[in-house]
Amino acid sequence: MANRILVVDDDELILIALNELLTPEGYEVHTVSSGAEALGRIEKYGYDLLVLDIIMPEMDGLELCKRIRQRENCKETPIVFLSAKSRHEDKAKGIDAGANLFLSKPISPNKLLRIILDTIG
Amino acid sequence: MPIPPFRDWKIRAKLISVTLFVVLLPLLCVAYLSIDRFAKALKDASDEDLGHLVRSVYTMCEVQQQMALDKVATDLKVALEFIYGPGREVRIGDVFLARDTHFVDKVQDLVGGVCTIFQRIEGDRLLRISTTVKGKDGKRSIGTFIPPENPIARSILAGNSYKGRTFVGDDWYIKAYEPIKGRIGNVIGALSVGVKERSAHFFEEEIKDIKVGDTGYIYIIDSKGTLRIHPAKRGEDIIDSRDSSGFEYIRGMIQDALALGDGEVGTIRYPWINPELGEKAARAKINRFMYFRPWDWIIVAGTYEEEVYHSLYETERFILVVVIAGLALLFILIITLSKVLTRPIQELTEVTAKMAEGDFSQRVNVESGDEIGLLGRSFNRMIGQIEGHTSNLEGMVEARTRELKRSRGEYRDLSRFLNNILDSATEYGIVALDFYGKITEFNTGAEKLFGWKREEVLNEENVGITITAEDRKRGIQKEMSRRTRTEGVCELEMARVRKDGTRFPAHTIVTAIVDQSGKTTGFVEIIRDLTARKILETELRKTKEFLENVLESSVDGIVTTDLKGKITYMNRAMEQSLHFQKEELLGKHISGFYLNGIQQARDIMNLLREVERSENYEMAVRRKDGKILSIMTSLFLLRDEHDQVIGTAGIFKDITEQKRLEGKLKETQAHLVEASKMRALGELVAGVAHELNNPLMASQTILHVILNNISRESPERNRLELIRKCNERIRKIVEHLKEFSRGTDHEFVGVDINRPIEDALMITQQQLLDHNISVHRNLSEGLPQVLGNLNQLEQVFLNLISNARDAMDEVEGTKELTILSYLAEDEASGAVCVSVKDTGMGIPKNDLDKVFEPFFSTKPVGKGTGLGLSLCYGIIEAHSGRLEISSQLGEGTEVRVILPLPESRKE
Repeated sequence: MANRILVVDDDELILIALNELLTPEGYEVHTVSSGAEALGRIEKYGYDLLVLDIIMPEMDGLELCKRIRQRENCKETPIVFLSAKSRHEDKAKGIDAGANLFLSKPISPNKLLRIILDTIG
Repeated sequence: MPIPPFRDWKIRAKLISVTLFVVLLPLLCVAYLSIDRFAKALKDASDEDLGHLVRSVYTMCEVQQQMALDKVATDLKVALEFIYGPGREVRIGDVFLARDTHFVDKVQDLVGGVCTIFQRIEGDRLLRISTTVKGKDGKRSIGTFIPPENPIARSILAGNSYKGRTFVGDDWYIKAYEPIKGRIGNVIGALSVGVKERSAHFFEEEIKDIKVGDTGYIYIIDSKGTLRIHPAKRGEDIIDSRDSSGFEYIRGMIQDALALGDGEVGTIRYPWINPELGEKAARAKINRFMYFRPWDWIIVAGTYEEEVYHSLYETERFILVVVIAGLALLFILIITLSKVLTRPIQELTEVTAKMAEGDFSQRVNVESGDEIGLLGRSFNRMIGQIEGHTSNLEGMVEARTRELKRSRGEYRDLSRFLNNILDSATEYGIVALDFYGKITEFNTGAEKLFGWKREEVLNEENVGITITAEDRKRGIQKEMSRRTRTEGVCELEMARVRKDGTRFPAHTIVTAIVDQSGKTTGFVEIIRDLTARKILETELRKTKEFLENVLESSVDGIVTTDLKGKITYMNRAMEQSLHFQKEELLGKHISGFYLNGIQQARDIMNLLREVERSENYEMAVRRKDGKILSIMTSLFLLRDEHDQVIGTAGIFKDITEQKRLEGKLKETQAHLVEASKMRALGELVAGVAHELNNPLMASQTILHVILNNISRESPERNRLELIRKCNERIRKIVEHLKEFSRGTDHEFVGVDINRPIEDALMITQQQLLDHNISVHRNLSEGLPQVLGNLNQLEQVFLNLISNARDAMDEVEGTKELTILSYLAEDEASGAVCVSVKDTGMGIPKNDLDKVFEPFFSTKPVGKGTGLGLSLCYGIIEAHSGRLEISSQLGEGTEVRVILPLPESRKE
């Protein structure tokens, strides 16, 4: 069974690009564009990896991350922030919110694939 | 006119006066004595006439009185006989005869007077019981009584008779009283008879007719002052009459009269104006009077004195006329005699007087042969001789006189001239002194100066009165006298004294007066009051000190020069700012410290001649140690009282420091503007970079997928590869922008600034060599560390070196890169500075302030991103430092990196 990845980003282009990138690699990719939707999906499905943007309308990525970590079934799920932010304090905030990794946009597709592979096989 | 002493009188006057004296005196004495004696005798006779008149009236009265008394006595005897006569039993006492008038009427028939019977009643009073006297109402006056203390009652009760005046009814009566005795001889009553006193006055008319002198008359008053007999005013009360001097002469006369003894005559004289006759002036009146006591009469004979003395005056007048006529005759005789005696002497005198005046032509006219005639002839001879001598002398004298007249004229002119000088020198006191200092001349100026009047001091006072006591004690007069004699003149300033004792400073010159033999006979002193000058001097000195104080305390330099530009004055502030001493510059030309030298001085002079004064004139001067000072001056011309330019003056304000501060302020402002501009840019750039990340990432990812999907031989692969490169470039740009906007941050540690410089140089060494660029580096050892990020700082220096290299690419000739590191001392809080300097083409001035902005580049498109310097700027800003750039077109550019020291950063 293929590993299932949820990508949360308010930018449609990112969602499309990651779907295009990851699906051929054999991952089951779900994409949503808001925190609320993301929580709904997590309720329904179990995910092997969550990729979250930070800057989003209504609920930002950090808030979303904290909410997810509060759920019993998601305590161990790897969470990666993929954000346009790149400063140290932003990274620290991301880790504090419960993420496993903080990646800055833009990231080279190869690097991203390698990191995902290293994380969930 | 005073009378000359007797010995100076003319002989004739002497003669006349002596004769008159000898004759006149006895004559006048005789006349006077005879008149006096005669007048006295006449006067006594006249007075006695008046006295006789009065006395005769008095005697008349006496006779009349005696007659009345005798009559009353006779009457009483008749009445007594009637009472005690045979057949007439009259009982008084036992029988009350009160209303029986039969008896008394009978008595009256017999004697013609009045008759009254009295009865003795208890208390020894005498009651009138029957009388012929009637009161005013026509009734008989009975029922009244005589009290026992009355002299009449006392006399009757003692058994004696009584005679005297009594007032009964309404009139005075001369009455006689006789006691009526009873059988046993006791007094039981009284009988009285009387005659009315008026009946005694039948001679009144006689008295009235008596004339005294022309207008005088006799009158009678009683002691109450009522006129009893008077030609016109009988009965009037004249007691209060006053004479024309206000004296109550009637009262006085009455007083005198009462005091007179029987038969004595009194006299009173008083001035009198009779207004009834229209008289204005008082005339002397004389009254002689006697007092007739029984009737209380004062008998007065009065008349004007002149009437009494009329004959006396006539006699006197006659004697006087005789005396005067005698005198006149005598006078004429004496004058004639004296004339005859003195005429030849008179003539002799006149001729002598004329001769004394020089007239020798006169001769004495002598006719007589006496001693005087002899004298006259000898005299005439003498005149002849003198006349001869005199005419010789006259010639000589005349010549001599002319000579004298001329020289006296000259002397007078000179004297007038000198006096004029003395008097017109009112501002100078001129005093002449004799050898001992006594004042012999004292002009108007001296009067004014010393307050003494010329008359007070001339030949009276010593000049010492104008010299202070101290000076006198010091012997200054002697000293002045000595100096004047030995040196000819003595001049000094000293205090002098006025008359009122006040002092004043004076200047004095003393010169000697020398006589012909060269001996000093006196001195002339000319004195001038120096008070005004002393005050002026003091004021001038004060003003000068004040002005100098003001000038010296000015914080701005003040310099004056003469017309040639030589320095004539310089204040302390000027000394201090130029570091020169006054003495070094006074008298030197002012251009000595002008930076532009003599040309500057000429420019200023030309300017001033045009505009008179100039303010805020900026120029530069050189200090003693060579430092250049910026000076702001106010310049103006100095003029004397005739408005002639005599020099220039300048107020110099050192504005060097002000200029430096202004420059610094401008710089700081520029930095601030730059910094805020760059900050705004940074925020903009950060936003843009952020927004570019998402599409960039999407683009890279999709491209990656496409490249994976198409075959290796596909002709599109190269084109896609091109897109990938584009994406890569975009990524780099965004990366740089993020760096610029501090999108990234790094850890700061203590850094030796020389390390990143060395690293950057090592990397670029080869490149620089390839471009024929020689590197000069001068990195200071032991600089304090700054806080920073090594990699970022290396990046900065790499960029700067790279820029320098690019700048020198096109340049022919020397290509030099100079890198310096040093401690920036002029930074307020301490900083390290790195300078990177090239000899490149330079940056145009217009572009200089844009070089830090992102995307600004002068390089050809594709050669640079335009982000190099802006990236450096961002990094250095993040280090709290700053970048400075200066460039000269065609010569090169210098970029300075200034990093603050950590101590200051903490603050």
